[in-house]
Amino acid sequence: MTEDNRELDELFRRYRAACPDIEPGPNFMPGVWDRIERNRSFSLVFDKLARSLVTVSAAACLVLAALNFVPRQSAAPETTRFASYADVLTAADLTMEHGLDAGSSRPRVMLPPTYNH
Amino acid sequence: MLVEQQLIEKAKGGDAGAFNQVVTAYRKRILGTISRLIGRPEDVEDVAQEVFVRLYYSLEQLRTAEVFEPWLYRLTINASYDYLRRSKRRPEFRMADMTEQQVIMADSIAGGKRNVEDEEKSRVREFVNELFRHVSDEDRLLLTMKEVEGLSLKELEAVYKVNENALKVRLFRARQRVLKAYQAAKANGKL
Repeated sequence: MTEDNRELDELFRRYRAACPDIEPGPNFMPGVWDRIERNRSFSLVFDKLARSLVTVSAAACLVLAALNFVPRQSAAPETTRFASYADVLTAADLTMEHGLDAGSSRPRVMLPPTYNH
Repeated sequence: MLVEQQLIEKAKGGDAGAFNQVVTAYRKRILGTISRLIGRPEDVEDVAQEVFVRLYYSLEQLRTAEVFEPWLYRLTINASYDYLRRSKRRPEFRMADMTEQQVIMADSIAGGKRNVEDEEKSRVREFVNELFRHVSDEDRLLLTMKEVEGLSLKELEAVYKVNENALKVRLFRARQRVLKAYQAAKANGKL
């Protein structure tokens, strides 16, 4: 085993000697710079695309945010849109107590759609 | 170090002239290492160019110029590994891939002009490449760096950024596989 190991070491040494030192060709450096330039131009295109995407996304966010703050004209009053069932009952009681609704027993406050059934 | 640390710092700072000087200083060594790592002389220059392109783009990540050589070796090993994985071919020579110089050399070989020494070198290369077929590409690269390139375990530790003991175990196993293949070849009279 030790003998084989020694022979293998010798074989590796001979392999190193057998592998010729390769001289770089005349186009080696131009080739390196050509590749660098190609990679760089690809990176630039990718960078431009990424920037455009970010700009478009930011613009879309701004538009959506602005739309969120514009009050809707057809929107119902806050009290009816977000009133809970208890709020509606309280409001109805109050109007009845103060006799403001003498002609009708139904509360004037609009119930949310689920409570109209 | 083949170049001064200041030159590497300049190249790191984006100085194209300094980068050219660094490439010029190291290209022959890198070509030789790649030649022994991949075993396909016709593709050595292509892989070496890839190494220096990677170096160009990763230089700014280099912490200090002191670790430049392990860094460059690491890039060389990675590019060679990518090449081996991409090609999934074992070393073989094709006339179509040869440069003019190599074709002339091949012609002279075919014409019986090559001397005994060249024939012996060629035989050794083919035999070792045959032995390397018994280990994975990763182990082939590691074993070549240790046994052929002559890097110490400390140097390999810096290149691979792996614990020395883990490297020892991996090297031992890879070498055992190659040794087994060597013994089998010897028993079959292939030597």
